[in-house]
Amino acid sequence: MAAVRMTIRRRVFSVFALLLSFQLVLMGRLAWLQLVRGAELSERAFYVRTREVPVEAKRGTVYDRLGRELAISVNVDSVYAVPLEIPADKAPEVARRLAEVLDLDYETLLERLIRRQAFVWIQRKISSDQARQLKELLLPGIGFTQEAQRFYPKGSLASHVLGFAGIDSQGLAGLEYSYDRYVRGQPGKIVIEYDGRGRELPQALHRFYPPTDGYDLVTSLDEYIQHIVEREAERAMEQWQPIRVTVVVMDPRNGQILAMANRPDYDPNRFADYPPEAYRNAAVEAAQPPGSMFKPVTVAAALEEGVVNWNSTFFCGGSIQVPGSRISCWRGGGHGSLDLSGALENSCNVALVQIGLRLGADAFFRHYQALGFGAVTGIDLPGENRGLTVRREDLRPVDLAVMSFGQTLTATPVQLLTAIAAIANGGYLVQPHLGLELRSADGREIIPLTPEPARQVLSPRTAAEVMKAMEATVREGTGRPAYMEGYALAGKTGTAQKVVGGRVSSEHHLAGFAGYGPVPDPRVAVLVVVDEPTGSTFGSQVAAPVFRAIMEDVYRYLEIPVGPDSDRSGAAVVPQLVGMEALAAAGLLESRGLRPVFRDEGPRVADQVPPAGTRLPPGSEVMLRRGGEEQVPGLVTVPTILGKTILDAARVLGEAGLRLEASGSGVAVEQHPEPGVAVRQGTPVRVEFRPPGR
Amino acid sequence: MRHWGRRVFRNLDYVLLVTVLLLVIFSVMMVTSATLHRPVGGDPYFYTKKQATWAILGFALMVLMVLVDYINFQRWAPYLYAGMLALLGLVLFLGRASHGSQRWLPLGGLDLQPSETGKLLIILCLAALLSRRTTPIRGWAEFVPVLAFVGLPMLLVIRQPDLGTSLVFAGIMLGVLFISGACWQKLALLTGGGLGAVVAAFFLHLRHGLRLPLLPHQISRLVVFLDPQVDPLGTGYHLRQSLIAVGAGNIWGQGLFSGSQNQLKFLPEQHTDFIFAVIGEELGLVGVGVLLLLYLILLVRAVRIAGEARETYGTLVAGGVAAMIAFHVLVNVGMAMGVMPITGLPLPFMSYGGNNLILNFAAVGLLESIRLRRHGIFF
Repeated sequence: MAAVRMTIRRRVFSVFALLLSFQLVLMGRLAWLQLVRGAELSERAFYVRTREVPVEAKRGTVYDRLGRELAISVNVDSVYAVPLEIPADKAPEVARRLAEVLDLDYETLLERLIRRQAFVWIQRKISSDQARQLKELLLPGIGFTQEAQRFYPKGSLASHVLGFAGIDSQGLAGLEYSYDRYVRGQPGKIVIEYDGRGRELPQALHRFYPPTDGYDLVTSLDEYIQHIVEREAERAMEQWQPIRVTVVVMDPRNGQILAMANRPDYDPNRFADYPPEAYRNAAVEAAQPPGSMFKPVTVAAALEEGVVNWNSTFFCGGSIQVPGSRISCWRGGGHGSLDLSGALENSCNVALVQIGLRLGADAFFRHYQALGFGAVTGIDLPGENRGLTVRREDLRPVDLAVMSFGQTLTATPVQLLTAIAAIANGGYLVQPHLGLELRSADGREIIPLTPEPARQVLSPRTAAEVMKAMEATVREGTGRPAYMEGYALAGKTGTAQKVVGGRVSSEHHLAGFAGYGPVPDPRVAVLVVVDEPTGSTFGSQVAAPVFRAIMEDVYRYLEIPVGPDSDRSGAAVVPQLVGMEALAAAGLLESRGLRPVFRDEGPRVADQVPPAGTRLPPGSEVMLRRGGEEQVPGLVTVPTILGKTILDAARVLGEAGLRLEASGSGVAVEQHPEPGVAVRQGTPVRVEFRPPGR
Repeated sequence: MRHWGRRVFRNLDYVLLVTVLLLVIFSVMMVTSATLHRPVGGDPYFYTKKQATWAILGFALMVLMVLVDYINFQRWAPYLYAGMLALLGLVLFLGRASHGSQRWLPLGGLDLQPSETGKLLIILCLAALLSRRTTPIRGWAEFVPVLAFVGLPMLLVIRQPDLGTSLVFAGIMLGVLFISGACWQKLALLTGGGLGAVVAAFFLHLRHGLRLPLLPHQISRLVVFLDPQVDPLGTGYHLRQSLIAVGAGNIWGQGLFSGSQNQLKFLPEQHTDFIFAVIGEELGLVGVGVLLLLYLILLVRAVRIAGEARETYGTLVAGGVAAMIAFHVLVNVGMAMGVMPITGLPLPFMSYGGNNLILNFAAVGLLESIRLRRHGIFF
């Protein structure tokens, strides 16, 4: 018994020592966790409980030159789920209801709803009808957030120019792409704290970083002219059944594109329903042989170099022999004896070959480049093609001969029209462009978009002489189908043989017409290209009538005076300006050679002197009195924000068309303007948030 | 009567008493912090009130244990043993299920948890068995009856299934045997062999699909113990969140009622099995150090009482109580810090839960009773 007691005493002591050492091990591990790895673990603790919900910026509006909306952004609902908030037994029911309203697959939805996740998108940018139905159902764990949806109110109008923006509001084509950096804006975000079950904490710190809405873009397009152009392109499409029709309208004096259209086209509101080929803007992306439409360029170069003059004569016997080949004229029997103007009027290949050969390769290439061929124009649209030709080193005489009448080289419609515009504007190569200015959403900042300065590439005399020949072409030459008494139109037809599979094809043709008016101070230049028409291939039959129909309506719209050729006085007609935005009114006046003089302040024109319809000599002043309110969107009543979280405040204000300017975090304790005050839509409401009282 | 009362008060171990009371106050505070954000029936202090009630009940039971001479338990041991087996058997048939196992017997307001009561009963019975011996255990054969004696209630507990508590039984046996002077080399071999067998079985299960009498969640807990990153949102979730909480506490902690892992409900079972993580996060190294120091004092006093006991039975009972509390602390704290697998054992006096709190008070009552009677016949 004593032995046992002795053993026990020793054992008790061992137990004592054992306990002490265990304690030391635990303390050691603790110190390691809390002191050595403490910083890393606290950081992880913060990381696991915050999430960011992006708040998309509103894309800026795209306007035409007179302030008409071409692309706008509207707020629509997106629906998301917080699966952890959906009771397991309710999930099938919720999935079934969602599937019904949104027309989605039930199985896929259910799988998403039972995922162990804090946030999943169910469907983004749903219709207002669907949103209303879903909101009435009050489904657990289903939430809504406002997102900006791009909307093109005019449908497919100018679709190739405008392009479109994708689901995440990113510009994907056209102007939406080239000015995306400005139009898109800066996205904001809401940082939300979640608890361990993925639930959003109603009172935890929400930080709101407001988005900066995108810049508005004012373009040089004129919606009215665009309509005319699209209507005529459509008509040509029906009549000639080509694979494509492309029309570009430019102000030759400054390179501003007034209209640009292709058929077939697409509706940017439903861009995903079309094949990607439909997005292609042939006006800048497709380089094709210009054919006879190039002939004025060759003639201008030859005049510039002095190798021909208006008294030069050429003989066309139906064909001409050049080293290595024999080139035929389109008219089998030949044109006989022609002067320079006659060569253009009759579009005589043989005469042009003679001119080209006299010009020589070096001079030809110098002028080819000076007039913008072989290089991009720098237009503010994506995917521009620069066109091709035989390299200078590889050039054979036959190539030069053929290039003289627009084969063996390619150019985009915009390139060709820019060169033609240089003839129309007295010899200046302008940079074609669409963007006029960018305006920040708050209207405080305006970024003018100025193109490259114009370069003098032809002498005024040469330009004027070629213009005269082109006018004669319309009046009594191959361009006759474009002729209208008193319209003073100039132009050149073209029938090009396409290059198919690397070879010049005698079956695939382009029919085109490049022209402008009114001579001698053209304000509108138009290029029409009908790609592979059926029935007829001649530019004069296919494209010239399109040009003529467009010009007829554009003249009426721009109030360009029309009268017997002898009666043209060069007077400018004062347009109707009252009610227009001041800048647009000034642009319109300047485009008619009149000078605006402003009085008073205000964004719009309140009155004008003299009234619309008055004829004035070019350069006269028109007095515009400014006035009026900024825009006229509806007034809204400021809702009460007090007591709401940032998330709710943003939603409530968004629905009312107001903007949130948040400071602090927590719930709203102060707002300005006060609830009930009527303000204009878009007014920022300053709201101060504080953590709820503890 | 006055004479008797004065003797009781003079001989109580006040260090032990104060330590226990400090622990209970600490517990009520931490349970409050851990449950304030999840009110029951609109009452944020639901858990606080219940824990305080149990503490008072436990205190009463402790007083009762002090008054009864513990030597009576030695005489009643066969009946206690039979009663324990009956309770553990009964719970398998009649028990109320919770969290996937049957552990509770409904008993009026309080659900009795026989496996908790069993911990104390096995100490009293095993001490009775060993105290009758005149020599310490030496041969292998002498271990067999003891193993069978403890093994039987252990099997019943495993059936519930409650792996953690059955391991407590093993821990108590180990402690009591060691104090009783059993050959320590053989004891070490036995322990090592047991652990080795478990590890080998586990290895064979993973590699060769050996069937184990364990539930899937128990196996996955062991896997996670070996590699905490294996399943961060599933089984590894408890451990990972606990580690983050403990680590985020640093020296002074984030402050009572403001630990983010706790208050934001990232911590599972934060008022019961993982209350240590809440303390670590909110009170930091200092708070946890104080807590561990309190446990050390408690255990040292228990071991001292074992050494001073009137006879072998008292020594073995006090040793068993010390072994039980030490095992709980070690496993629970080790689990929260990732050095032990997750077994779901409560932290004595700290974790929310009536059965364990009352049991621990009763155990401390036994210690005081042994201490009180250390100088021979008391009455």
